[in-house]
Amino acid sequence: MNYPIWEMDLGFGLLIAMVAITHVFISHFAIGGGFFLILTEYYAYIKKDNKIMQYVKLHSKFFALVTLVFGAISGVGIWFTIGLINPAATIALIHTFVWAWAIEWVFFLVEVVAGVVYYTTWNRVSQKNHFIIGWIYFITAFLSLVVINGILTFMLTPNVWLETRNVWEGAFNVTFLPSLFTRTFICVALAGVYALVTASFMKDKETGRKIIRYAGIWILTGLAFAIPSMVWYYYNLPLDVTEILSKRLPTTWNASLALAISGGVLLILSLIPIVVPKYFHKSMAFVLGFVAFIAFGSFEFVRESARKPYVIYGYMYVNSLRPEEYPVIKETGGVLQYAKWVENKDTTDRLAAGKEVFRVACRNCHSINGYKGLKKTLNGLNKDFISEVIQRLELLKGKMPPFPGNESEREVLAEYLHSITEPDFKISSGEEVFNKRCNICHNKTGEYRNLNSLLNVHDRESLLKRIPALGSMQKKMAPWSGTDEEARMLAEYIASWYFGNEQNQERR
Amino acid sequence: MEPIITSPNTLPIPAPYWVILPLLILTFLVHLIFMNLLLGGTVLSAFNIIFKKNDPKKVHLSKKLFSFTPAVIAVAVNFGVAPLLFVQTLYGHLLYSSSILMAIFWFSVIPLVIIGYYGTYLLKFKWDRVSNQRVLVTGVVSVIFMVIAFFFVNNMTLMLRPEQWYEHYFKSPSTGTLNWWDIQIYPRYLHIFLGALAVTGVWTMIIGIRGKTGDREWSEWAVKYGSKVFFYTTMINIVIGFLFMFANPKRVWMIFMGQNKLATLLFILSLVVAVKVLTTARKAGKDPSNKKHVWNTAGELLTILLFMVIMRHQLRDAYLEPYFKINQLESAIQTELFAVFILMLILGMISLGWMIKVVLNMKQAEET
Repeated sequence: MNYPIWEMDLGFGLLIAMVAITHVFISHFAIGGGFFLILTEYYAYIKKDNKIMQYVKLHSKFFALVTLVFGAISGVGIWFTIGLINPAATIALIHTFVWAWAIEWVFFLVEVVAGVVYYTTWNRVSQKNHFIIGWIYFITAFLSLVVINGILTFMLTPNVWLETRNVWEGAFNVTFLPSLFTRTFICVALAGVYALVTASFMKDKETGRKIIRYAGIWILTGLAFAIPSMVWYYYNLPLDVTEILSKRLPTTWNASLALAISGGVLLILSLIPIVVPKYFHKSMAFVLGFVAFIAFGSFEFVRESARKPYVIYGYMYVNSLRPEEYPVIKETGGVLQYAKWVENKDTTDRLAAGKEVFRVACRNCHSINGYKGLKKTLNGLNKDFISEVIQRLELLKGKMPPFPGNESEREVLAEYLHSITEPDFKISSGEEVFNKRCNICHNKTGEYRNLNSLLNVHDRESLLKRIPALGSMQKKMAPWSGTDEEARMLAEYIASWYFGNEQNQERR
Repeated sequence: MEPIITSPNTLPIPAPYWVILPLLILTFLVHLIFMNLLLGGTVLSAFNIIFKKNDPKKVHLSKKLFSFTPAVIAVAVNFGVAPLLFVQTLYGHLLYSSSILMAIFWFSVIPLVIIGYYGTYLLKFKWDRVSNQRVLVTGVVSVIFMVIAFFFVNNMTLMLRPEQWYEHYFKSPSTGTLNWWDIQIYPRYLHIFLGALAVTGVWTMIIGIRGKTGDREWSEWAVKYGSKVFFYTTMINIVIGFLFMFANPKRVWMIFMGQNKLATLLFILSLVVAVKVLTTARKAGKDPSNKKHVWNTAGELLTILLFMVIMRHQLRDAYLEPYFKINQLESAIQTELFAVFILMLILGMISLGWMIKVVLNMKQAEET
């Protein structure tokens, strides 16, 4: 609220995901790949295998071109991006961790110089010195991961820091080690994934096969250790694992699912280069790379979404507000009064004010048409329902921060959000009614507020009667505001699976 | 409309500002040198490739400059990270606002650097293979770095003008806007642009005297040519520098006119050293075999650059004077972590020094 907000329709979540996932996919390779280079160089040296040495040389050039350019610049890109999309959180991190970042910068500096020197000094410096340069590279690269891992996990589990504001306790938090182990072994696996690319392009097929098998072993080893580390990590997340399984957080659930599937596929695929290296075609290297990218990206999505509704857990909500700001906003007379970058200080110009409330209170995560776009979500819903939902944001699945504005701001926001929906949009099925009106808080089955157990009705008629009376059930439920036709479709839809359930049939 | 300044003190900074400020100034100085080599080097090379392609000496110089460029970018970016970190610590609440005000342009720096960076690698590794497209590639690369420099000048000055933000923000909140309206950015941009060419001139002189194995005639020509580039760009730049100064509000430039003693002293010293370095560069150009003149030119140039960086900071504080002073920042000192930083810095410098020694020994061995 203290900074201007970029009205970017792609959606901030997608922007940072694009920049950050690209970066981590390369930067973890920059660490694991460094380790791969020195170990393989050592192996070639011991075995006096000139062909493998040639490969290491070639791979080091590829390595430098990818990591020094794309890795380094995309890392700076994350800084640019977070400053643009969440300046309040960024400044909190910078003020707390500037020395940690300064330390990381030293590692980055040495790492980059060592990287350039390593790939330009093949056969030009003594073998011993070349090894030392390689080790300097790898050690500083790894240490930079250690530092950034402290900051990254701090955002997820700052725990003790919240009380003490002690930077050490912030960095060495409960997810520090599990995350570090996970990332370290991801580095190892990625080293193998990238090595497959260069190895499968080798003209010398025999050596190529040797390296393909060897790279496969790197992937398998990395995954073998990354998976248990990840489980350890999951059990230290600030939310209960059962909460993920209960599908209370759809993004975390979906990302976890994607992670499990792509990780499993990667595990199986990594057997091909080990077992049948001669059938490993170069196109498969890219397939493996793609699967690894999806797996790693999903892992990062889990981290980002498990943090909700906070951007720094317990300290700052994703909407850039700290919980203690809420009462201050109330005292000030609403978000329009509190926010600095608004044109409408009150709600007189209803639509314009609603748009501004949207910008200062929602834009941090939501867009209109892009990522977490509201137009599609809200199509077919009436203003009253939108307004009721805004009142209950913190109850929705996916954990949103509570709405910070006052009554009239909620009203104008609802009017604005209703105005962006398609006027001719018609809800055509009970399932759609369910998804738009019920599923945002309830699940059909599963652990979290599942209707199968919550709903206690005996026949279709009582189900249909229940719908208009929803608001009187309990305060947390929004009153029914749909049309009679929608109520009928909804009842039909619920009946279609509810009474199909054996347990409920007994009730009947 | 009241200028919108957010309080920077939600969380304290981990050291007093006077610990962070020298780090900001020193790391920025290094960044400035390499950034100048990058911008000036690509532009000078592109100019020679496009307009002097029949002059083999100049084309050879371009090739030479491009062979260094990827490494120059690596260092420039690296030493850009440190001052960016420190400037965010001291001025983050202003810098983020101005960055968001020029949102898409600021973000585009990242893809632009990546494209430009790969472009220079292409020129380094495939110089002969792209001989037909050289004009195109060098042209694109140099334009990219010129644009990036312009965006930086924009942001670094937009952050100083909070009184202008509100009005300009609402004009284009979906893309952001550049501060075309701010008259001082034109001379400022020109000043750093010519400065970049001047630094590249001196760099060319150094390449000339360092070329032990290459042909001697070319080396001497490089020293002469470099001194010429440096001399003329700096001559013009003194004039531009004055224009730049007076394009700022009077309350700002008055600090160099006696209102602030240190600023005034540095300003006078810069002018004196500027005159001195012009004569030294002339001497180097007339006597290209005498390395001493070249190193003197470089040393004097470095002195000016240091003065300029300090004056740049003073200019920033003068602009912000009505809104924010860095001594308003609250701090909660993290002694141990700072000590770790210093320790790592020392260890880092030792390993850098060792690697540089290894490389220099290697070059020496290869040349003999």
